[in-house]
Amino acid sequence: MIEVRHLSKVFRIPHAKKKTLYHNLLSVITRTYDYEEFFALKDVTFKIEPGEFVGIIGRNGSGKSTLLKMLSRIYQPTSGEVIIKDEIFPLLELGVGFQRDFSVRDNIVLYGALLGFTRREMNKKIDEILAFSELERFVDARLEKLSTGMQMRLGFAIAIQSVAPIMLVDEVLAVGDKAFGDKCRSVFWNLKRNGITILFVSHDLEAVREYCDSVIVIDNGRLVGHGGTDVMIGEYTQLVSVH
Amino acid sequence: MKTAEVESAVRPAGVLHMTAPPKPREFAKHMNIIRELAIADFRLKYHDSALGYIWSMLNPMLMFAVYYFVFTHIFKSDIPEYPLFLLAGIISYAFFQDCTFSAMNSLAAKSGIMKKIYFPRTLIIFASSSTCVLSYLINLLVLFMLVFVVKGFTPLVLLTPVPVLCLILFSTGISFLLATLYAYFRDMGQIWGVMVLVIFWLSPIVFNVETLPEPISTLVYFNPLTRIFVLIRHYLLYNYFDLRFLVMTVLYSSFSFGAGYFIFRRFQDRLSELF
Repeated sequence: MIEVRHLSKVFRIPHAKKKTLYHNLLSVITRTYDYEEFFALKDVTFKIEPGEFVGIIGRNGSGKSTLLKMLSRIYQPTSGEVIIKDEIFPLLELGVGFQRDFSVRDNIVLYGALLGFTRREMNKKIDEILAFSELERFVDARLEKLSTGMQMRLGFAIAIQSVAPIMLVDEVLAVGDKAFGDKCRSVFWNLKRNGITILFVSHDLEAVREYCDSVIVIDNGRLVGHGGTDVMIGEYTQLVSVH
Repeated sequence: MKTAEVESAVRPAGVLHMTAPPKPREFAKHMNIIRELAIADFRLKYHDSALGYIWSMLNPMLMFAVYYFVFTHIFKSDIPEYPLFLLAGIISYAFFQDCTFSAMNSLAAKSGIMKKIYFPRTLIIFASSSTCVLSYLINLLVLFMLVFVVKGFTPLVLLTPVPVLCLILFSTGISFLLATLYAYFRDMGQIWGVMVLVIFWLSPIVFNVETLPEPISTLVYFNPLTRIFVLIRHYLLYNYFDLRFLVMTVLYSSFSFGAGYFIFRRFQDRLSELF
């Protein structure tokens, strides 16, 4: 279960770049604190039941990714509460921590470690990962020799090895070609059938329509609504056409 | 009115309740992340080759050669076992320098990972320290063999790991502190670059603090590294033991580690927003 109550996130946007001790001292001495505050999320409240597949849609910069980052503990809430009663697995980007100088095999182990698997566990999974990503022939090649699409496929194949009761997915379905897309689709259906709670950020309304039981629409950091997929997609299309 | 809003933005007031997996599993997972990150860093550092290690030794070796020449031929040092004395000082100091700089670099290099995956950020510093410890231990092994060949076996050599551990704890503590500062002030690298030079000459690396005249020796003892370096040589070269000296060193090294660790932990959840 995920419960979010009156969640807000404020970012400071400095007017001048002040990242050094020198600049900070200077601004203390001259008493100029130059920044604006920006609400990336403002007073967002919703509740997601176990086993729900929820789409999150909104225009660029509306706060979708910020929301996922706060649910995955990467960002701290400025105010409000996040209550998550289960293990959570955030899949915000594929191939995080990939080293281009390392072989495919070593990258599998490294990325696996960041996702919480030991070297031994990854060695057992390696065949499955290579088969899924169709990269068996490249296992000892350096990662940089692989095309971007291949790297994304590899990242996806590794990432889906970890299954938690709650998964946060940020726009990763757009991976590879049609055939690989179908494979990914079957993985998601499988997760859905197994009662995994999934929060799914996407701009692909077709995909949202296909999987989601309900949809959350966010605009300018505020919750527009949380409801049935078709209704909320309607709201969103209206929102986009107004602007 | 404005200040109240600013306060709320600075100090996260929100609450995060989360049920994590059972503790032992969590701990094993963290140890595994440290190990894999350290292995990756080590391989990147030495480009996967033995030659890479030799290149990394070039700098301390050159330093050794220069100081050895200057302090035996120009200043005529009367320190017993001067080559080994100097070598022990240089590789230990090199570790301190390496460890502190790596912590800052590693935090910057892993900013991308921090923005995408959650794990305790302390692991990044533990991993970067481990990488440096690994190179330090290899260097120490070479030094041990040299000592054994030149001087034979003396019983107190077996105690050398204690001050070495003190140095590791102390350096990691400082690394935590520097990494925290670095997240806020990006010129910390340059500032520290000047400070390590001062620290080098305030440490008994090329000279012996125990024979220095009074006001200067107090100043040098003020540097926490001094006692650690002195202890390493007492055990490794001079077979000399002083309990009070040892206890003091162990205490403040552990304190420095603990303080650095807690300061970093206090700020670690904000790091992903600072890069």
